[in-house]
Amino acid sequence: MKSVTDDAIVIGLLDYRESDRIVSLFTREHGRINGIARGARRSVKRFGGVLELFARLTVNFTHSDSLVTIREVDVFSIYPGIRSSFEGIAHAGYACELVSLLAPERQANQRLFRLVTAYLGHLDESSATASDRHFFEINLLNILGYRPPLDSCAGCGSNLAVFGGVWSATLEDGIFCKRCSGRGGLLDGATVSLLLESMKCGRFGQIVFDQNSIREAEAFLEAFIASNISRPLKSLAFLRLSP
Amino acid sequence: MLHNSHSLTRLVGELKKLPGIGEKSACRLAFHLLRSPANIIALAEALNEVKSRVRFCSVCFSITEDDPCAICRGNRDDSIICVVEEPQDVLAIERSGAFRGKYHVLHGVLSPLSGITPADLKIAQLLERVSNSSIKEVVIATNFSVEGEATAIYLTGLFRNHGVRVTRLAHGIPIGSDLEYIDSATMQRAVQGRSEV
Repeated sequence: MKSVTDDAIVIGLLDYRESDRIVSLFTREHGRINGIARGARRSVKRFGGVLELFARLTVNFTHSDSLVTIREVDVFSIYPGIRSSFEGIAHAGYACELVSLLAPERQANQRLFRLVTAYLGHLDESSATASDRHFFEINLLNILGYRPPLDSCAGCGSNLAVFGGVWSATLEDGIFCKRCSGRGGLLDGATVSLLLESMKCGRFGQIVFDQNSIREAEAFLEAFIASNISRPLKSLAFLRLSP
Repeated sequence: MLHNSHSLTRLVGELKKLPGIGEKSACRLAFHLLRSPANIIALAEALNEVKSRVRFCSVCFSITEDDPCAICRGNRDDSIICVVEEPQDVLAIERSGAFRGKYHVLHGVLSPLSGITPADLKIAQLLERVSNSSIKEVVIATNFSVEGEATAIYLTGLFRNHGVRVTRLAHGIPIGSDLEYIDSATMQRAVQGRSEV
């Protein structure tokens, strides 16, 4: 059986049987994969105790139809800065759950891999902020083909970054300007601009949402993400615990 | 169905539910029990006794037959309390003989991906214990996983304004091990947590 080595981030873990672990990985070359690490909870020889949430690893595995078999891992970083901060853990956990739910299985997506590693690196070095979270969310949606229709009003085609937008709970009909629809969640022109700018910008920390934009973007992105996933995000409850 | 025996099939089915027991092991155990009727009765009685007598201590939430448990009733240091994830962690620390205080079992840890929040754990009860007693130190002995660390950070924040000292178990290189075989994550932590001698 052919073994493969790839860069990976641990995005989920599940204890299995007496000492095994089922590990969800997001890899650079193979996309999101699920693997079994036999004896991972008992032996630190092969896995060195680094099969931990958000750890960035070089992983060696053998392919199979369902679960790949993880043979060996080498740690790149366990992100000690994230692990020492409650907000860091909450935000990184949220990012991992989004990738788990939205990234298709076994489809490489190097842009998304770069986005996730950049976000984890940023969380490791600086405080977690709502602004960076929204930057991550909108870029993740854009990369995975779920880009929200923020450019123009679904009714009259006017520029939402100028006139602002109104979105309804269903989100299916698109986003309207305030003249075409008076009811629903509001997106100020400035918030729309920040979300659009985020998709053009490649670095965390360069786009900063103000308090109003954070509030509006949070409500909109939460609803938009919820409309594209199969179950509620468990990490949101944890995220709301952080100050 | 095994040898047309419904009861044997049921026994194998029940044994299979135990951790680490697959179909073959369950069959082997079932036939072993079948060959020694005295063992069957002893096992059934032991299971029944555990079911009827073992409960959680109303003070520390560890397992006990008498409430409060022997540790909570006993002559231990009341000023220090060790917070652990599960009842088996109490046994592990007790085996070491290194701790003479009391315990509090959380029955889990905060988990971002499982959505486990403080309301799902015995955190409110811990807060009440610390607020209403002479506890001076809270030792956080959750595991060194991401979830264990998150719980430790959360508890540290919770007790910041309660006038108690909050400590965390030390972690690093195991006694008797060679540095060359230590994994890099443990080594990173050991270097970060080095202490003056």
